[in-house]
Amino acid sequence: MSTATPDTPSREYHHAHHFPTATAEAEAGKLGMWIFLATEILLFSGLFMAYAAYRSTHAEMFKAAHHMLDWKLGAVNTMVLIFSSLTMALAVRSAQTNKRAQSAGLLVVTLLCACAFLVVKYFEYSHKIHVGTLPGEYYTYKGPELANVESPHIFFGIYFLMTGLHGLHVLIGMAAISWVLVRTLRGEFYSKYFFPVELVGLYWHLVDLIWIYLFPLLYLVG
Amino acid sequence: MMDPNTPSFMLPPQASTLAPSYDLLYLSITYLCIFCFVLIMGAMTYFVYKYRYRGGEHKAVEITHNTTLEIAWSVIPLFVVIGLFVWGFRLYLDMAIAPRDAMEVRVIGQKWVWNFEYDNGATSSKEFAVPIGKPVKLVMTSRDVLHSFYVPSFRNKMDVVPNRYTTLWFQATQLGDQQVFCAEYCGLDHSGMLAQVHVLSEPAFEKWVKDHSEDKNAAPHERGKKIFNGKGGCMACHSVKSEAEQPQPVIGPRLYQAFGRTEKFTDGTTGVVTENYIRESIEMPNAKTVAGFAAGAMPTFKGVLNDQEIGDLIAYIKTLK
Amino acid sequence: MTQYSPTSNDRSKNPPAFYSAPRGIKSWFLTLDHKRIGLMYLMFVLSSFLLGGIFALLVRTELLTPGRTIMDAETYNRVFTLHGAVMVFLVIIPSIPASLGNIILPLQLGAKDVAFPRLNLLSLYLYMLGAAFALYSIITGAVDTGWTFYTPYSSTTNQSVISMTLAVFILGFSSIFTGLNFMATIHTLRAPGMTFFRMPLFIWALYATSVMQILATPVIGITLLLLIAERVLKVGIFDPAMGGDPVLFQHFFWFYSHPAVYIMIVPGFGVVSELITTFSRKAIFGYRAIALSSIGIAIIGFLVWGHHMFTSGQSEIAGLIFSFLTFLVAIPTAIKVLNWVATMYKGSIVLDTPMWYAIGFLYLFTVGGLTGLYLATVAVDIHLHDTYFVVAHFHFVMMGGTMFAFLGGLHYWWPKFTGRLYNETLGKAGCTLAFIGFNMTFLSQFILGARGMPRRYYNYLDQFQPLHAFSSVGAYVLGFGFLLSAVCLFGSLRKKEDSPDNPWGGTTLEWKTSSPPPTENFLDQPVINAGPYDRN
Repeated sequence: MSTATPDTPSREYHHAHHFPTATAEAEAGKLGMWIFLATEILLFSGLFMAYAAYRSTHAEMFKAAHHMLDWKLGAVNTMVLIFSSLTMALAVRSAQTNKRAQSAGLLVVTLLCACAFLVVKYFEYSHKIHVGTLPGEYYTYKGPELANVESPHIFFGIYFLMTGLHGLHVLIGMAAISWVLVRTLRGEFYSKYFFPVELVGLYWHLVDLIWIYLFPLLYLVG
Repeated sequence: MMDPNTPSFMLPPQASTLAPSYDLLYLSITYLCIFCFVLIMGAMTYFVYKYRYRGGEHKAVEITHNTTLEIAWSVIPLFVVIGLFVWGFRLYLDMAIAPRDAMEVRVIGQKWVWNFEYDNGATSSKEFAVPIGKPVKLVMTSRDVLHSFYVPSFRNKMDVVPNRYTTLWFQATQLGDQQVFCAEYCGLDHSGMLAQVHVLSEPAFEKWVKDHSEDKNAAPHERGKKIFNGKGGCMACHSVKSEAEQPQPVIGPRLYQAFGRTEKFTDGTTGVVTENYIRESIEMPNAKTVAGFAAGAMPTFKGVLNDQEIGDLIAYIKTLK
Repeated sequence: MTQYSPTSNDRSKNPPAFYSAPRGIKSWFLTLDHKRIGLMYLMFVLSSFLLGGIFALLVRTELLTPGRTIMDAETYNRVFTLHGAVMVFLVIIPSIPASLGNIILPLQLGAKDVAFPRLNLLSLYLYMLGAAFALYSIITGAVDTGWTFYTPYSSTTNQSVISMTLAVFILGFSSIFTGLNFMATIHTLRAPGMTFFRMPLFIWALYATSVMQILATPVIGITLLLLIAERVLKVGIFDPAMGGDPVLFQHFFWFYSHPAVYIMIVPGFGVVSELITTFSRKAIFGYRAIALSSIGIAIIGFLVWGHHMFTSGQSEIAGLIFSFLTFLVAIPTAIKVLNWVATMYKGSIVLDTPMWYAIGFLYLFTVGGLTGLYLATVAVDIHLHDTYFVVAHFHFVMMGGTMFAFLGGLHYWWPKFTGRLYNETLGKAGCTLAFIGFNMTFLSQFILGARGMPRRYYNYLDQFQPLHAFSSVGAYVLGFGFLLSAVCLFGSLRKKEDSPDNPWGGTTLEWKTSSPPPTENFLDQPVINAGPYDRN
């Protein structure tokens, strides 16, 4: 890589030697990330199938149990993630147009949104731990709303598994965004080489998309 | 016409109404397979011989397509498999759906014994009786893990699932005993979870059922012995004989001469085997674990055995001297 | 034929072989060269094959007599479980793609490497990590759940289930990343002029396999995560006592594990296509049919998982649908076999060791495939399910199929990536012995199963002993055959490199560079203007 300043458009880019052109390398990278996203969708699909199976056999219980979730907090989280997808997409665009400071700033905002999401989830989880609406044999809630409902622990098992796995992916996304942020601050990205930002952006959009399906299924099912 | 009582080369004896239909389909598939195999492998062997390289120039002829042939060998197998599918599916419906007037017997599978219950309250373990020539429907469930009820000579099998009922029906056509296997791996003694079907004439069947009904005048220790070897399934893990008579390792403490014995527990304490200790071990087995045995191996029987049954078991254990 | 790169004719003038330079253990474990990664995979897969084979011989030795022969029931249950788990996850699934695929795919495409070399190295590391977890599980008491981990037994039993399921989870990601890499490579790094329908059939097979690896493996990932959650958090998703459904586990498990068996066999199909065309000295018959049938099998293979569950208590309608679709998937498979035999018609057949394996494959896979017809027919499966008939069927297709194809490919490409020719007599002897031993071991098991002998049985009724004993003797013959092949191949390494570029007269690109190739595969970029098997 040359030592020209990051915003100089004439900076050279040397692609990996086994690709014939830089375009081929970029295309391959994007294809690779899309394939990886397909595997992530299938990973979550198992949980969506479990949700479907138990919802069909315990429809009343699902309706009763989901009221224990605060849909307003869920809606806040949904807005936060959608907004973070926007800032992420803008960060990619800024990297492409050589606006290093702007790109870094947008990445920071994306990270902050992710943190906000996790903070809200922390409050939700700790509330549930406090009242005892937990999965499996840890379920101890004795409140009136679920007094006459059979096996409510099934709903909370599905809830914690789905949001837990999703939360793990939010953390992984945050790590990836931080890595890309560090490289942005170092001036590594410019108009001819920005696809790590693009690829992390694709991953982040998937994390957002999965939540957009989770939210109505878990919080709005009644 | 084959004597249905003797096994053919590949198949067990035919002991149910389904077996002949099953065997016909099985044999037909076998002939089909032999035909295809001879055709394909014959052609291959012939080509290897006829077109083998004999030195010098290679004389291969480039033939890369033959649309007619390719269509033929796609379409013909398609029709054949559709035919097989239809035949197999119709037979399957016969196997799966029991006649409406079938006599019901309840089957409870648990590690590692089969228990049977009849409508009139008769119970048995490891064996059960059915009348010849009448349809019988088994209604089955498991107490713990997956099992599978398999009678090769009836050509039928069905998994036995906890918290659910599955069914299997047959109509026996031969008098005598038929072998039952467990066909879904269920742990240590999976291969020992066997049973016998006694196919009896109608009067013999009635007598058998009467003999196996609850005998209110039986002594507690006699009832206890029945529960021990049956509903409780205790003999799967606890031996009632001495070390000399039955030396193989057992999974739970040996109950021979256990009553009144002092046991050492995994937490370092000791205790005597009394009536209360036995009751506690049956209802809360993990309260105390005898040293040298695995914790958590014994399931609880609370709700499975009632007070009278536990009392009967205690009476039986006291007789093991 | 144009030569794009160094030839083996004058090695003194060539750049060094890919395995000669750079040197040192770091240059291997930090390599980005697909050929070195493939070789390391090969060493691991062969070692795992040895381990799985030892477990197999232990199982068959115990089954020489009913009752106790050399071990107690608890140990036996662990040994058969480990045989299955090691063979399925550490051997057969990675065998052809990760070892032969890694070495040969870029060469056949005319590329310098795979699309993502660092991801390739990560796949290898994940394999090693998964294997380490599996070993840890074995050492700490192992598992006896059967390789299928059915609940509720697996969610309640007191053993090292978690470390073994974690091992499989990690190995799953190794498999996914390999599939991802191959797919991207095939899309973006084909030589100029190599359209999809000018690709060798081995590549088509690896492409279909990659599709399955990518779409199916995540499902076993989530299934095993759920099993771990069940054990640790007692979630109750599969536990009937808590309202869960143990049959749901079976649906999840087989949704991956059925495509998994196609992940195992389809690369084998690819190898056999290469072997038959090369050793018949003519282009393959029905190229398009074979190429597209791999894709067809990949797609239909996702829809048949319920045929493992005909006796599970699922509805009759489900049985109907799964049976029908299972029969459908037999058609593209049969088409392949017929095309291969047709290729041999009017060919010029050279009976070298790789071709012996290809012919052995055709025989063994045909038997295995035809016996699948019994199991696809719902009514017939009821009697045969969970008996030795099923065990025989899947060994015929997985071992007679995949492993014979693997060994054939190994003997075929061995001179290419080691530069050595091996002793043909020894190679053929190994193949013959393995073939004889295989038939002894598993033909007898069809009879055992049809007569009602259930599987996973430690003890058995006396009437089954003669067949069991015969099967066990066969297992030793089979093992000895494989040992002979190992002696043949590894013995060749003692020689200096003596192989020409193209010892077999193949037409695909890997034969147009030296044996072994230099690190960058080709010095000039190959350009394609004909089909892969054109000899003009």
